Amino acid sequence: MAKDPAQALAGKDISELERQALLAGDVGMLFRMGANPFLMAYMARFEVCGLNAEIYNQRMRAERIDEFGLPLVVSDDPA
Amino acid sequence: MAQIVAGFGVPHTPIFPFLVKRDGPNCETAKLFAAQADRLAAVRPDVIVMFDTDHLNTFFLDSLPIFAIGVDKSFAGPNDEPREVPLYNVRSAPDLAVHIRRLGIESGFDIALSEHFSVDHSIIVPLHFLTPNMHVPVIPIFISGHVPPLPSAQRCYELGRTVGRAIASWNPASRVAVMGSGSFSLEVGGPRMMPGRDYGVPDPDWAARVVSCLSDQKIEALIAQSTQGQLLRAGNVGGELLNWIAMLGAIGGRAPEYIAPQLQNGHAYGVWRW
Repeated sequence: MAKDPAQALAGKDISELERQALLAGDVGMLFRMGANPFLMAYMARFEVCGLNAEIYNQRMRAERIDEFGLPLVVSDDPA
Repeated sequence: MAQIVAGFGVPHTPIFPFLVKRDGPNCETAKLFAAQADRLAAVRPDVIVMFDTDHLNTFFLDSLPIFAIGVDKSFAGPNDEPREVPLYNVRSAPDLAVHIRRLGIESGFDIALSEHFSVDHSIIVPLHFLTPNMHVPVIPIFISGHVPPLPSAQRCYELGRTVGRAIASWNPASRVAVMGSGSFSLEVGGPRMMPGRDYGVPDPDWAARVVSCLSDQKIEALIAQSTQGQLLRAGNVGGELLNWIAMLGAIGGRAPEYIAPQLQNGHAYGVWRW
């Protein structure tokens, strides 16, 4: 994932939208699609897909959530 | 027969070993853990039973039991590599673990079995501070406290009571300390992080209420208030309180010796001895 994320994700059972979101480091989109934020934080820890702690923090904190910390907007990705 | 000789509630913040190494033995965290370590040593445990929530390092989303017990002669950890924590090999007590599981199942708890497992910081960081020589065998009992739907607080308390009965029915005379690992209000990597941090404390008032309930032995009230909704409001790892509740079930209606809060971190350090 650090050296060649596109290659690392090739062949994985993920939708094209999920693939694009991962490669773009769009953790907000992934969160809205149901990705576990605790697991996504590893992307920032290992600085993959353009993420670092600061960028990850900003993108996640920008998400609209309900009182339980769950996304208010749920992605309609058909996958 | 075996007897439970103490209960401990512990935090497991993965960066604490690094911070304590940096800041030295007189920093707050070092002193709080040292106080617990002294009391653990004083009760001379033969075995530690630790209720814990794995952070998707031992189990994963594709195979996630509500309750599980580790059964092996030993286990390694941490498998998630927190800073300044060496890789330990921790002895366990498989015969007692099998006994606990069997009695648990006979009592109506479907406790999964995990062999040949490794554990993450949530078990190792407390042991790093409390038993750095890893000289006391440890039996981990895993409670699924992060990924909804969560088991109810009442269910976890009853699990603890059942584990307590199992320990009391174990024939070899053993001194057993029971631990509950985790925080009361904490968000890790989620949208309720503090600016510039990788964590947040979304509900500090809840953390304070938990401390109050523990200090005043209002366990029924604590259980009643620890709904899934409240645990989720407290943060994406707020369900770790279930490990403390299970520990309380195991040790019975005991008054704490002390509860030392670190509310800025959403957790506390608790000791029960009698």
